[in-house]
Amino acid sequence: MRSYKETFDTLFKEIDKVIVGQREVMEQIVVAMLCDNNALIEGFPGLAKTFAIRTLSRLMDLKFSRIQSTPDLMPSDITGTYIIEETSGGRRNFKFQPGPVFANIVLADEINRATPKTQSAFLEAMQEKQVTVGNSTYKLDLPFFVLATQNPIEQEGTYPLPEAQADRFLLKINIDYPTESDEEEIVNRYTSEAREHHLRTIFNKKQFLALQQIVRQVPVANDIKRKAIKIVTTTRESKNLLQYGASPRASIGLILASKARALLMGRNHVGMEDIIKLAYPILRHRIILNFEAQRKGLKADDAIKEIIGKVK
Amino acid sequence: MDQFRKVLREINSTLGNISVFDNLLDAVIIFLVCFLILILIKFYPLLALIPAIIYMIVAPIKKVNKLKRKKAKIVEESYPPLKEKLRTAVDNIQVSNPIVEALQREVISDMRNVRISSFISGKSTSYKILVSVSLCFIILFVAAHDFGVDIKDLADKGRKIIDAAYVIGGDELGEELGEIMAATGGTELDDIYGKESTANLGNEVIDVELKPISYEIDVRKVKDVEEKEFEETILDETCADEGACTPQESFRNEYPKEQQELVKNYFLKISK
Repeated sequence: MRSYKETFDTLFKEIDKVIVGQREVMEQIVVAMLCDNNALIEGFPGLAKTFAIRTLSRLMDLKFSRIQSTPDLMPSDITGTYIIEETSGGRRNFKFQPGPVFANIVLADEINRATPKTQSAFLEAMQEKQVTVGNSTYKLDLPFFVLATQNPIEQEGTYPLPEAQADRFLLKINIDYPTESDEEEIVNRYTSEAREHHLRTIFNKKQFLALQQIVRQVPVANDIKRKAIKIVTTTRESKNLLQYGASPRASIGLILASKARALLMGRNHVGMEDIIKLAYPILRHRIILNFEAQRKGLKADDAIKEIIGKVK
Repeated sequence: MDQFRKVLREINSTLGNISVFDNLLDAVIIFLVCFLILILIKFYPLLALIPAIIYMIVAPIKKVNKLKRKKAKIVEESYPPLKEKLRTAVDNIQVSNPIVEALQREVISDMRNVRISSFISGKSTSYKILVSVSLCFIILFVAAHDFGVDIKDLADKGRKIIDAAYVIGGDELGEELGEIMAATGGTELDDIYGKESTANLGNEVIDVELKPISYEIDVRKVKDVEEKEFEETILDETCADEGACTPQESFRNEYPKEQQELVKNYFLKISK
């Protein structure tokens, strides 16, 4: 366990060279990746969302691609398409030209700006780790993650993710503004002469896939598991706060993500602390507040806090 | 894995022994309290064994169930570094993978720092022992000075008061007093026939032996037979108006024939 802890500590030390603060956000992104799942990152512009993901791909020696979502982005722009290729014999063949989705880490920047049709093009890749173009299905290289970002402001001309698609993201990670001291450090770091940071690779693809297997071996006590499930099921019963609760996929996600966090923290068992910490990013995009809660100005996190309080 | 199972068995037996000791202390207190109450009301003191025995039977059943569920939590509470680890290891005892094995090793190593004394609540145990000793002294004192109220005497007195009230104040006062006595747990009005235990005596077979009374004749007091003459005047006067009136006839005239037969039969039986 100590070796895992040391490895992750080294990873975060390297991240700290580039990203100031935002430790929890980075932990949550790594948790989503360790669970072999996707994450939706929401934050105001200029909070280094894209930069953080790009940094992670460099540290893990994974192929990175970025898709900037716009209203005119087509599904084929993501998945790839068939192009006509002329052979040396003068024959013309259709050849599949893979799109940017054929990478290990796909950053779907401002995903809510893409049309629903394009958004749904991600669905198969996210869930099945494969892409179907025409009659052919292409397996994606593993590990595969979609890390999508969205902007909470400038909602005009955007297409909010449908619930079914939002449910495919294991975590919805909120990035907040840095503290004043962190911001001072950011300014110092990025206004000086040396801008290029030398990052060393911490994992390779094979090691990361092995880590994903180890995450699933982390044991959970029965009472902790029951409490995690109770948190999720209570979202369906809390009609005074919520219109719709979370699906069983949330229960699976909560336990799996807690296992990954336990490993990240160097523990060989899941604690209640992991469950509580991850209940927020797991549930916040899977619940819909009712009118009364919205009228009171409550947010999804407030409702989750109340539910955790009830179950605890 | 085997070593971990061994550790679990050890935890079970230790917690079981502590639980038995705790139960015993509680049962002793229950016995002493009941004993004190019973000697104060001067009612069979050995009846105090009944609640103590019932507690000794019922409490362990409840505690065993609680122990089964919370055994790991109890140990974790006594040694915080084991928090959540022990119950995770216990729940995943059938699972075999490097992470679970590492957890089991960690738990075994942490268990070495757990002291048995940490499972015993010193404060509560001391209080229980102190209460038991105090109760023993109180019982000795009460028994030596014969303090207390005889509940049987009290019941008799209550009954007498009611009877007196019936005599002095008539039925109304008696009933009123009886109601008050009944409401306050005193003598019941129905119990006017005396002690039930005495009434039951009537059903028991009693061997009664009649010893012949010894008799002696004082020869000096024996006199000669005297001949006495009875005056028949009374009978004659009574029957003077009715002619030939004899006692037999008078009997025949005054009573119906069935009753005469009955009386005749009675005397015949006696004479037999």
